[in-house]
Amino acid sequence: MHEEAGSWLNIIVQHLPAWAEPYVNLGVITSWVVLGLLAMLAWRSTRRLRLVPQSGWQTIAESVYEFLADLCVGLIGPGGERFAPLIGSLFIYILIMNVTGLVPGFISPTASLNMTLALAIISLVAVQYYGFRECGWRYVLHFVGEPWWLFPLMIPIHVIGEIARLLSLSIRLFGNIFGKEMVIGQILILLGSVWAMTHLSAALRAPIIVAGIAVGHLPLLLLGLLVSLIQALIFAMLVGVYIQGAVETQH
Amino acid sequence: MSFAAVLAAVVGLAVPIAAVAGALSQARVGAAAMEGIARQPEASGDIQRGLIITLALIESLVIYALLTFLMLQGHIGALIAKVGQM
Repeated sequence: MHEEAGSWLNIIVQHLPAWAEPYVNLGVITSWVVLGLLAMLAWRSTRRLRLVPQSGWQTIAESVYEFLADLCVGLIGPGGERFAPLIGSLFIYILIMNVTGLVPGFISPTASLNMTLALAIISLVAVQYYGFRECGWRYVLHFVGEPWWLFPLMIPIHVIGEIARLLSLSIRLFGNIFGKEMVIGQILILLGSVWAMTHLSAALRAPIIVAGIAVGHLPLLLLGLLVSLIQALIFAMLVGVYIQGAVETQH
Repeated sequence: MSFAAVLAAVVGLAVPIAAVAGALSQARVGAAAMEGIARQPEASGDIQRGLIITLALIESLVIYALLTFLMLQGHIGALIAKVGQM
């Protein structure tokens, strides 16, 4: 679907060198643009740090960080703000990538399973790493389960559970964002055909059709904004819950 | 051809059934959370967090049905085209 999607960034895709073509598509380039935007914002808001913020940028960045740190503390408990960099970057990155689909001429990179699976793999590898770092070999032992002689049963169950987490994290985000993009696209086509059926004079026809489409799909855009925010929040919160489960395995 | 027709009917029914089941279960979760918040307003933060995660877990099942629908929907046209050629 993305290969034929209309986007400003198609110019870059068409002029890719041949060796890069299997690895880089429109979604990847859009995610690079998002990365560049976020890096620029981060650089701009932390350039002249003051104890008492004097620029609006620093104030906004501090309130965003406080929101994310509070989220992590609420999920993981005291000391949870250590995980705010990971969970917060996941949240902001996914949120911006979801929202780009609503900007005319851009697509959501998260509407492709490649991107969401990569994000889920990163976060679940981080969960295993944090679990091992916090609890050491006890974390590995929790895969064995409570009566240790049940380990031929419990180890596969735990491993399958981790893989199921991976799949559910990635497919949930992908399905929601893909569904959002598809619904908006279908509604655009539907509105266009409905307005094209009206009997209008030739001079007014094109502007009325365009205005009808633009006004008619506005509620869908608001719904898309809501879905984007909720899915980014859910991804970040679920990663937080998994980290909490891995960090506190000592029971 | 009848296979394609049956597939079309079943695929069309799958998402509404999943949506109805998901809506009913989400309604129960939401009602329980509202009761909990009304009984203990000071615990509303924790309850909301649990509510959002639970709703996401339920909703993802509906999304799986939607994905299956989208995957199978593409096959219907191909099936009909194949039968038409024969």
